[in-house]
Order: sequence, then C-alpha cells, then structure tokens
Amino acid sequence: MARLLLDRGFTLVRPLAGGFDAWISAGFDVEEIELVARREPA
Amino acid sequence: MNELVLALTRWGVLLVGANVLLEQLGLPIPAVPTLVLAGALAADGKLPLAGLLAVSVAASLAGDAVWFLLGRRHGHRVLRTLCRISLSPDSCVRQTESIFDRWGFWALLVAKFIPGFSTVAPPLAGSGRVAFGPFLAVSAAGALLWAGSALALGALFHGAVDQVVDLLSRLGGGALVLLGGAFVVFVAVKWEQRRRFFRKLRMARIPPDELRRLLGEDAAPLVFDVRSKGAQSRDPRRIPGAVVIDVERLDEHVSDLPKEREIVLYCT
Repeated sequence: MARLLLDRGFTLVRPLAGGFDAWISAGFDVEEIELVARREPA
Repeated sequence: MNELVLALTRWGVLLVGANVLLEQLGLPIPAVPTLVLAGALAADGKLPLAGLLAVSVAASLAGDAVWFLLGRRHGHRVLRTLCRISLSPDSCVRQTESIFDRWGFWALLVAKFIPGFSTVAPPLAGSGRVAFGPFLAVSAAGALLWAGSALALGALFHGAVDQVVDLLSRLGGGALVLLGGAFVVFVAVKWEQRRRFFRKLRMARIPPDELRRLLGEDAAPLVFDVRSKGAQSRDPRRIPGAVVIDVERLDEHVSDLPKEREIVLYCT
C-alpha cells in the first residue's frame, strides 16, 4: 500500500508501526467512523 | 610512455589522496576507479603500493573525522541535514540509528561498502556514544579494507587496466570525452543509489507516540485508514481525523494531494 503511494510520486509515506492495534494499546484517542466518512474525498 | 600514465605516475599518490578525501567528505566523486587504476600502476611498479594505501587510509580518516566531529558537536542536526530533512527528521534519523544498533559499532568497518551508509555512519557515531579513539581505529581498519580491496583489484587485473589506459591515451581527446561520460554515468548511478537509500530511510515506520505528537502540530501528516473493509466494519473506529481509504479507489483519494504531503497509513 505504501509502495502504491510511492509509485504515485508521494515522497513521504510511513506505515504506522504496529498498526491500529498498537495505537489502541497505547491508549490513544479513537473516533467512530461515520458512514459519510467512507465517501469523504482526501 | 604516454602522457596520461606519466601524469598518473608523477601525481598518482596525491591524486588518490585528494580523490578519497573529497569522496569521504560527501562529494559524488568516486574514488574506487582511481584506486583500481592506481593499484594497476602499482603492480607495474609505477606507483608505491604502501604509499597509496597509507595516503588512502589517511585521507579517508580525515574525511571521517570531520564528519564524526561535526556529529559530536551538532548531534542530530548534522544527520538531519544529511537525511534531507525537509521531510521527516525523526524517522530518518531513527531508522539510520536502528541500522547502527543492529550492526553495532562494527558497522563502521563495512560502512564504506554500503552506498549511503558510508556518509551517514561517521556523524552518527559522533552523535552517539562511540568515543573518538575507537572510532578512528575501526574507521582506519574499514578504510584499509576498502582501499586495500580496490587497490588489490587493480593490481590483480593490471594487465586489463593497462590495456584500457593504452587505449585511452591512443584516443587522445576522445579519451577525455569517454572518461567524462563514464564519470557522468557513475555519478548518476551513485545518485540513484543514494536516492534509494534515503527513500528507504523515509519508508521507516512511525511509532504511535510520534504520530500522536505530530497530529498535534501544524504540519500534521495525513492519516489513511487502509484496513480491509471487513476489519473496518468489525471495528468501526479510526484514528481521529484519519481518512478511511478504499484501496481500489486509491487514485480518487490522492489525485488532488500535493506529492510532498506526509502520509501515514495504518492497517489492523
């Protein structure tokens, strides 16, 4: 996935170490995904 | 005796020293071809092998010492400059450090053989816990290994190298064009290696606490939730502000983004 972005010319792409699980275990904030978020453009 | 070889014989040791020094200081002037050529001339008895080796090691040490001391004095700032930091100092430096941690102090011994790393290793050692004395010792050993193998290569294949030199001197002016072209190609290859190395560094993973800190800053990275649809529906939460990405429609998500925008992605 990161590779796909690099291939599109983005220069600084970093995966989160440990993924979402690591974020949650660290006890950091999360928010609910609303349905609209799925259609939200970047 | 042709002029090229004459000049090399007269100035060879000095040229080799200057070349090694400039390369170690970070300029993209490859010293290996010069060393190979010098090694061949040494095998023919036209240059002193011991002198070449001594000058190469001394020049290499001088360059390394400069970077080491800059690293000691300015710490990570030097590394940041080296890592082209406009982008992301933390991860670049951290990643380089992890190479260092993984290979340990002895990384310095082979650093010269690794594109990119040879420039980063001395200031890194300087900014870290390595003392100057041991650094010089292992750096000298590394230089000896590196210059020694290039010189040995030249000495071993001196017959072939001599033929190339003969051919070049017969070509006259054309030789300069040829050498210039070879130099350009070499620099381009080196540049590409360096670019890849830095790109790899930038591909470093970002730890959660660093991301959390960055999200509080003005230039916060864009966060992409790239979990599978199944994972997203099993846990319909996200990192605050994250854009939930449908991988199959990636282009729609990113087509308007500036390429230098920092992106952090996460899966489960």
